[in-house]
Amino acid sequence: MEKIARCIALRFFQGLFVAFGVSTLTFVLLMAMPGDLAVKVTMARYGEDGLSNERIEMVRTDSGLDRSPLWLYGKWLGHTLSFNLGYSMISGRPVRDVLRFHMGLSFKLAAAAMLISLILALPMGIISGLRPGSRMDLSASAFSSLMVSMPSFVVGAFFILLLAIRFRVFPAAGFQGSAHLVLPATTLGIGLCAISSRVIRTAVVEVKNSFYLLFARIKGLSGIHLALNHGIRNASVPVITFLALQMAHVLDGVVVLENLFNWPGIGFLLLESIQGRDIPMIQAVSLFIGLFYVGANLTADLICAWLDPRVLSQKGDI
Amino acid sequence: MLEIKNLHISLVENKNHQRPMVRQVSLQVSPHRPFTLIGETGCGKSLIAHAIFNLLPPEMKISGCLRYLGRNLLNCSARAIQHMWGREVFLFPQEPGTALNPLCRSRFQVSEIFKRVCDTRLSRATSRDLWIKLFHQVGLSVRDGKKFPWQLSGGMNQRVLAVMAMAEPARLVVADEPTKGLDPAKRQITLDLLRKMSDMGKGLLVISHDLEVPRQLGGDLAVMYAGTIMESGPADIVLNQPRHPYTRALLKALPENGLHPIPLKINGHTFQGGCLFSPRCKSTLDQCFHLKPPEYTMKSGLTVSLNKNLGKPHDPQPNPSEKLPHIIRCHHGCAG
Amino acid sequence: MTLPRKCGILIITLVLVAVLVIPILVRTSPLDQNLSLTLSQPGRDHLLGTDHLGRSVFSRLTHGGRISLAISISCAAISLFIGSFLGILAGFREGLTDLLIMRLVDAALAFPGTLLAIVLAGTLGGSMLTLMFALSATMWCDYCRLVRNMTRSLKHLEHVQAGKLLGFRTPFLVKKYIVPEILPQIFTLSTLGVGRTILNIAGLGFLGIGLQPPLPEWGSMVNQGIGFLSEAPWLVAAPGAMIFLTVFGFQLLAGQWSDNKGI
Repeated sequence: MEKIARCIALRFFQGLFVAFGVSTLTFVLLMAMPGDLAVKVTMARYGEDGLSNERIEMVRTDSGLDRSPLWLYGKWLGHTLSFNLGYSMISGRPVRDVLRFHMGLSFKLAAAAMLISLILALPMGIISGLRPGSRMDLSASAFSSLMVSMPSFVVGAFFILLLAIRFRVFPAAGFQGSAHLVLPATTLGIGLCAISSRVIRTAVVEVKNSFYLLFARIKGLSGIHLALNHGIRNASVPVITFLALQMAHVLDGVVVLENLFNWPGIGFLLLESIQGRDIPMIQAVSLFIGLFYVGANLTADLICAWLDPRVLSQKGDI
Repeated sequence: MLEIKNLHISLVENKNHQRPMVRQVSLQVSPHRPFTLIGETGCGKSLIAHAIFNLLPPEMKISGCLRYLGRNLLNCSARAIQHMWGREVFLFPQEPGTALNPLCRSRFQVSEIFKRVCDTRLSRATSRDLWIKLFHQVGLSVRDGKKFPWQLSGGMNQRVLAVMAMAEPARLVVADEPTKGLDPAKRQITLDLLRKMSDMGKGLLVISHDLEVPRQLGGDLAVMYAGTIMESGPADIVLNQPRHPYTRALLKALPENGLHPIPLKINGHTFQGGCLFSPRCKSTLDQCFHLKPPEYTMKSGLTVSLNKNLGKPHDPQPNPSEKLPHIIRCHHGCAG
Repeated sequence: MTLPRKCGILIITLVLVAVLVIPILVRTSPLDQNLSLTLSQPGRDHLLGTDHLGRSVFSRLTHGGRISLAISISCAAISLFIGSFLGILAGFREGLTDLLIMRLVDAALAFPGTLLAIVLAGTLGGSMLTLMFALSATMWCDYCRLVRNMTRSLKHLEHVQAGKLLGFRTPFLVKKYIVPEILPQIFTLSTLGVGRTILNIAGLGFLGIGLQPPLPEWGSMVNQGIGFLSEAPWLVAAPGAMIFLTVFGFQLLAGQWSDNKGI
């Protein structure tokens, strides 16, 4: 129990640190940006026609841009830590709403990709783990080695060329229906499966060669009971822990592929706001992604501790 | 119960060459009479245990007769033998740490035997009563049942394994090095557990390199060297009146008898045939180096393979049709 | 040396030759535009065709690798030095130093590396320096963890303890006993790291926030080529193949052919 508490505390402080780091980073970026910020904000809020000196002054006093940077920084930090995300500098819409929309789409893509990767990786990993050295194992190994070195956007481009341009089976861009989801999710899923199938294989080989599995059979156990309690249960510990960790990394791939397939998810939003220098939006997106990352890591820790009670009794880092 | 006759196991190194690992081993295990197989590391004693469970690697070739309750296990299919695991024969493993599933509580690993191997219709309450009873028998508490194997000490895990051996319907328990790496106190506990199993009427084949095991367990003892049985008979006879120089040397090597090591090689002799122990033997005769030693059965029940004139030798290679009466007859023949 | 490693060395040598030597021999500038000859097919004049501005893809490909390789190798080197130094320090000293360094690692690892790189490179502009900083900001943590754990276990070995008792000073002990032991592992990690960084740089380039055009870079070449995917697929295929080949070479060199465990 003490171990769980320590682990939660660690992740909690990491979360705090991420929030602190993100807000500091965006503040620095804000200050480093050339030009008068008040003018820019006014312009973003009212459009170029609505630019007047009164409005600029109003914005300046409203947002505290006339005060010292230190005061501003304190306020900035306070806002971040209280999850007051503010308004987009470009569209003027509440960041919270925009984020929610894009977040939902990204989750949809990530979930579909994870599903596809599991559908591919489970049979691949299990079969090659049960027969290490077989033809199936070697080809699966070759496949993952190639896929790990392949940039996902090139794989995606290949799919677009083949399935969207040549054969027109699936649409290449857009986000309306589930047909639009197929290509990006498959591309991402294949990339994920290249790694997770190897992890599954390793876990299966380890359990298969373990003496406790043989001993359970010598005890006279067989069939589903044996497979469930002495095979799958043990093999699932590293696999599920890894999948939870992979969730943290799935957003890395999502950002790149969303751009390729014009899928308006979180990565698309991030890129768009970086190009438009929409500081509150950049801040919100990176804060969200950072916290998601920490949260996924925490989930992995907790799942690991739940599945394998040994973790709790060992000393040292999780 | 278990009758091994002329068991021969060899390692196929390539098409033309086979290296014998176990040569013409015969032994017999019956209920209430533990059988101990003693020998130094690498003499092939664990291979015999593995052969009973059909666990030998595929590159090992096996011949002879391995009879369990009248059935020759070597003729049985792998499936049939696997069906016997737990129900007929049980292996008491040497390392309790790796044999138990680290993710299952010890009570689960015991009670699944009742539920899945003994009787599938067993109620939860009955199986609970059963494992609690057995746990108490070996000195474990109910709370230990809730723990995982890695939370219990090595000795406690061994007791959990003993509980399993008692719970199993198996009538033959093969213990592979049960006292390896244990201190004297823990060894005593393990030996008590083994004796308890034997008292329950289970046939017990113990494989060990520890002379203390047969001394405490009683029953029968066979001394193995380089894949052959050198000397066998009732444990107290073999330990107290050994005839074979190897057994004598083993006993002399014990700390209480002066810690005399068996030399690796004597006088530059290399093995050219004859008695396998001859290169290391201190009391060799000329024929030891080229003559395969005949088997003698003494009045005391001792059977020994020795190149010395101990009376009329018992035919070293009996026909498969030969049954026990012949041995008994030979026994009488040795009386003179 | 195993066969995959030999293949890896061969591939990397080929890539290095292509990237370092060919631009000297072939004097076609990667920046020269020829608007009358856009999107021409691979052929005799232009080995791999031309892009939408009529620039030679072959020339851009060979020039483009230079910066990617330079950045990724220097990233790996920076991370290696910082990470190993802090790792040895934390492992050897334990106590407060260890605690502080490991909390620093925890803090740095709290940030998703790729996204940090995107934000930094995106807002500060894609100069080489920003890229290098952004990419090695979390990379050193892996080295630090590995080295620290290895140092901790190595430190308690008899021969190191004996050296300590003989009065050798810590730098000497580290040089004599610790470094040779951790070197192979570090080598694997940094070889993998170079490959991963090349992928990351290409990813940033593809997003349009890495090195800024018109500088040739493999990732941004793919990005510009995507628009002409149906007319000129070689614009995507050629840089894509180069990225793949380079990363694969480093993967093979690291001995990852049979076993990919980490992310």
